[in-house]
This record gives sequence, structure tokens and C-alpha cells, in this order.
Amino acid sequence: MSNKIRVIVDLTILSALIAIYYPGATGIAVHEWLALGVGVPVVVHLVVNWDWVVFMTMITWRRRRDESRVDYIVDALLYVALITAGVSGLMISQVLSQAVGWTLAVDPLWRPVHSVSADIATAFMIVHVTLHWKWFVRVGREHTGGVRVDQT
Amino acid sequence: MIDILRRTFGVLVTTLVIALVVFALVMGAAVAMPDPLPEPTPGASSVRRCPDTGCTSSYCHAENR
Repeated sequence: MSNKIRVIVDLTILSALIAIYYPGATGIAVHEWLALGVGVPVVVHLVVNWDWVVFMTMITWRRRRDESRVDYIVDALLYVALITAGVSGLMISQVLSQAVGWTLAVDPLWRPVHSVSADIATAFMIVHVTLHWKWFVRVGREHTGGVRVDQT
Repeated sequence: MIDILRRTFGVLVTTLVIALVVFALVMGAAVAMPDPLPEPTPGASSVRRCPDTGCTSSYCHAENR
């Protein structure tokens, strides 16, 4: 996959997650459908980088501290926080549950879990983007006539 | 193509496993946490009574949850 498409996928995820974080602005229906839809580019993002994830999972506890290990830990926590926000969001969903005909007796604990995990995911998303900011800049320069960029 | 399928399978299985673990942890926490006593209905006495014994002590409520 070219760097240009990877940047488009990543910016799509980032824009969608920012919009999802403000359900008061988008409305609950957009919030829920957008959250469901963003799963597709997130899976694409993970599939593209999956070999790195597997590699880092295997070596991360054997190596001393380095930048890649920090990346890996941030990414792992972001991944878990996003999944937690997704699962809890499904459990308390109003529009999606109606659309698929769910009638769940939802425990009130899911609501604070959704809120806290969304906050944590957003915080780790900001760290994740910051850690990879140089890559975004290099790809941007490449497509504005600058130097060529490798896939990492 | 096989490589993409292998990666996609890895992503989906890992996501599903983490989702199931999260679900189990939250449901376990929900079961472990005691339910709050119901609010008294309008017009009824504001004193809460334990449904089993009629006791009005908060200690009694905690014991009979």
C-alpha cells in the first residue's frame, strides 16, 4: 500500500475519532454509525502494520528500552482502550441496538466504562499521532516534491 | 493475497479475544458490585426497610443485599 493511501486512511481514522469523541455535536445516531464505520479503516491500518505488531510482540520484552518499544506500548494501550470503548459503546447503544433489534438489560457500569475508555483512547491517540508525526511530515514532503519515503 | 488474509485473520482474532476479555471483566465487576437499594416510591415512607426483615438500619441493608 502506498504511503499516500496510508496517510489518507490514517487521516480518515483521526478525523472520525475526533468527531466520535463529541456525540453532543454530531448527535447520537451519527456518533454510533460513525463509530461502527471507523472499524473498517482501523482494521486496514492494523492489517498494513500487522507484521510490525507481531514482531514487536515477540521481541518487546527481550530488548532494552528504545523508541520502538515505547511506540508498541502506546499502540497496545490505544488498541485495548479503543476495543473497550467499542464494546461498551455497543452495550449502551441506542440507535444500533434498535437497528439490529437488540433488547439488552444493560448494567449501568457500562456507561462510565465507555466514558473513561473513550477518554483514555483519545489521550493515547494524541500520543500515537505525536510519535509518528515525523512520518506524516516526510510523506507530506514527498508528495509536495520532496524526498522519497520508506514504508516505516 | 494469502499474506493479507493471514494478517486480517490475526487482526480480527486478536480484536475478538481482547473484546471478550473486556466484556468478561466488566460483567464480572458488575456482578461483584452490590445493587443499590431501590428509591422509595412517592408517597411512601422515606425510611428504607430491608425487604427480608423490615429492619431500617443501613448495616441491615448491606447484610441483606
